[in-house]
Amino acid sequence: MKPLRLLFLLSSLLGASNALAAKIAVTDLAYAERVSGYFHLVDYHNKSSARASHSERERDSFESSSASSRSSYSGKSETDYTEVESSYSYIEYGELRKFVGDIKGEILKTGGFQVSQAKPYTAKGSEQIYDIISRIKKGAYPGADYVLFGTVSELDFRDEANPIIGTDTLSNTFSLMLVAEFSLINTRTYEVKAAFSATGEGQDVRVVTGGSHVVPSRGRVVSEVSKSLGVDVARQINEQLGGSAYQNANPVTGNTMQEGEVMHFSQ
Amino acid sequence: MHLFKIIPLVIALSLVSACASHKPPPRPGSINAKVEQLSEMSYLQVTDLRAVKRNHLLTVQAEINNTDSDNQQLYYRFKWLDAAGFAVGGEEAWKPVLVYAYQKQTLSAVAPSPQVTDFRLVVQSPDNTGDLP
Repeated sequence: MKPLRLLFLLSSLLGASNALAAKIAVTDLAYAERVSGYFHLVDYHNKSSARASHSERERDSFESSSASSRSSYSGKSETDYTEVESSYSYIEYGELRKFVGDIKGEILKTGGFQVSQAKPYTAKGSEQIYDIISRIKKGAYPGADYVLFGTVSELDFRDEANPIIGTDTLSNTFSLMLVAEFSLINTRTYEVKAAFSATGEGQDVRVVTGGSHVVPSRGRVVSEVSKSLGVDVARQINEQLGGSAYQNANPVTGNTMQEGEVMHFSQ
Repeated sequence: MHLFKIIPLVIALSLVSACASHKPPPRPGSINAKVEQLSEMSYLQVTDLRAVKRNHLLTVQAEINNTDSDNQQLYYRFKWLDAAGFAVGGEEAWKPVLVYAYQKQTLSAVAPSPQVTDFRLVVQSPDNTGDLP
């Protein structure tokens, strides 16, 4: 009987600790992008018509002879020309439905939180997307104690080819960098518990010799960005909430040296 | 009785000499940790060694100093290693370099692949002491 009681106590304790873990809802990354365009429209219509007729009559008899001829010509031409030139610009709001899977995964790995699913923002894109308090009030994050609200600061793809000094080869780098700002907001008090910007970086580097053609792997780059962003977010949340040292089991950056960093060996 | 005293002394002495002839492993981050000499060179020394990552490729520069009044021949090649310590690419060919008397010569090389994170500079000179480095 005693071991059974112990087991029950242990299970209830484990359940309690699990229930105590704060629930975080992670939003998709909101973005605002200025879309600009230019158009030049030329509308040209030309309609022309021509009509010509000719008739001849000739009469011949013993007493008289007569001849008449008639010809007419009419022409009409109509041209319609319209030229419109303008540029337009508007701000597009939306949510990036990518890159948050690994954030949720890494938050779960820290062990201090539970993750609950957030409702996606499907309304027509407007500045309302940034009104996180109204979204919390509307119940977009059911059951969540905290909302990790992320917005995209910058997202840029780069495709570079640099010659490798001393060789006739090129280093072809295809990289993507995503910088996003995050705020961890309490859904009851709206207190910001942590705020930071995190970076996700991914690249596909190929060494190219003259004449060869390489196609970078976009999938690999996107996957690397997502993973490194997740690791960075979980690390910073842990750091700002004063949790135990967060250790990522699989650090994405296998290279110990950073780009441009000089390592000088001593005697 | 006398013999019993001598035997431990001989053992102790041999141990001490064995320890003395065995050099400690090179310090991590030192030039010696990155340079492999095929028997110690008499007149040539690697006096400076640095590495930088450019365009995601490891670039290494080494400075060789000739302390002799004669020109010295040097042969060198790089061994490129990935993060797990495995060799990347095939073995390089030995490259000859003539280092003039009392002069310094700079060697530089670029890793063949972005996977390279570490390297070894293998050097040998025909004029060496013949001792193990």
